[in-house]
Amino acid sequence: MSEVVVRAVEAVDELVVDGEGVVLLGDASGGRVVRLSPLGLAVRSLTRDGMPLGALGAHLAAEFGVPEHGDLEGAVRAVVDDLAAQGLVEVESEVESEVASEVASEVEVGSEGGGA
Amino acid sequence: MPTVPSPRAHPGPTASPAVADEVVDLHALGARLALDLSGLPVEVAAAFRRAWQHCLDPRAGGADPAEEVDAGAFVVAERFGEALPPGDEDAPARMLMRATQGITKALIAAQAGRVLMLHAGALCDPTTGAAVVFVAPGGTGKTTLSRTFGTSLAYLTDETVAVTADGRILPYRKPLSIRRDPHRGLKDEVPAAQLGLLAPRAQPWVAGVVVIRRDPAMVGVAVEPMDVLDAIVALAPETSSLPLLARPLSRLAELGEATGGFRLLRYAEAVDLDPVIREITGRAR
Repeated sequence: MSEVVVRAVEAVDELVVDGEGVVLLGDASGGRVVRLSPLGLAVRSLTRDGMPLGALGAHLAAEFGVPEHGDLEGAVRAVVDDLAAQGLVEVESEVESEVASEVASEVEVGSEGGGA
Repeated sequence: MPTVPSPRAHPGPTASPAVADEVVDLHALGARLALDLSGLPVEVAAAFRRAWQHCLDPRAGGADPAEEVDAGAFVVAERFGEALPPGDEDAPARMLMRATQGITKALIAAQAGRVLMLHAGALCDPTTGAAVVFVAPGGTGKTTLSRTFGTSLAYLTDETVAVTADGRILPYRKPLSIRRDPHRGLKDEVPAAQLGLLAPRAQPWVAGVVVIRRDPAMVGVAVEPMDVLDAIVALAPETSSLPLLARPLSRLAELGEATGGFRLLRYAEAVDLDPVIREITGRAR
């Protein structure tokens, strides 16, 4: 089994104003703009070159604190899934294995229903 | 895209005036589009020229002719002629409608990545050029606003506003599409002058940008300043070829900053917007 890696999707443009931001995704054929909270901006910034979910959680906990219910991994996973659903990050397995492939495939299905 | 000979290639002592008139250059959005009208019935070609009369002047598109972008050329009868079946009295209007859509598409494609293009209408003070840009999806009030205020302010477009990096507007004084019958889809392409709309006498520039939302339940007008990021999210779907522009999100943010911030206007009737439109078009650069 391998740990899931989160990677920011390359954007056409990004603008940050007072700690919040907008991201333009797309290509020459069209684009869409998504608004990002400070937490979303941090996830994209930290995962520019890819980052394992566990390490991402540790960085986010250091910056934003641990969720009240204490389930850091679950909270980070929810944030990542939400961003993935909006096309802002991709979730991939670090090393291909049977279990990891199942995880990645679940994420992919979950990502298809998202939108801006 | 088929190429057509320039009308300037034809004239000569033996050329007939009819041939020379068959190709027209349209000037709009800072671009030039050559349209060959040959093959069209004479009365349809005349109607076409009448409808597009405000885009025939070489400076109508806001750019120096030497700096105009080439939007190419096409033969109108080839592109839209199938909409002209004999005996169908609505056919010319239908063809003109389709031609307007095709012309808009060609002009926008030519300017992709060069200027910021908003799906919006625009009116300006005829003498100062101070313009209000009203952004809205198709069919939600741009033409009505243009008609309501265009008899005292100058009509710049009811379709696409092209904004240069220094805040100038490149006019697209297309014919207005006026619904002939509320129960049918047919519209007439009517030139601005026929509706009594004024022409700008100065270079238009963006004095203010508003997002308009018509709400029949409103009484008067509600003016809501927009957070710049919310505004960008709202404006982005009403842009053309945004990803091709350099620093597109910053361009939008800078446009808002330079014009006092984007505002959302909720209103029931176009006349309700009078104070806001007068305030914006009364600004000095």
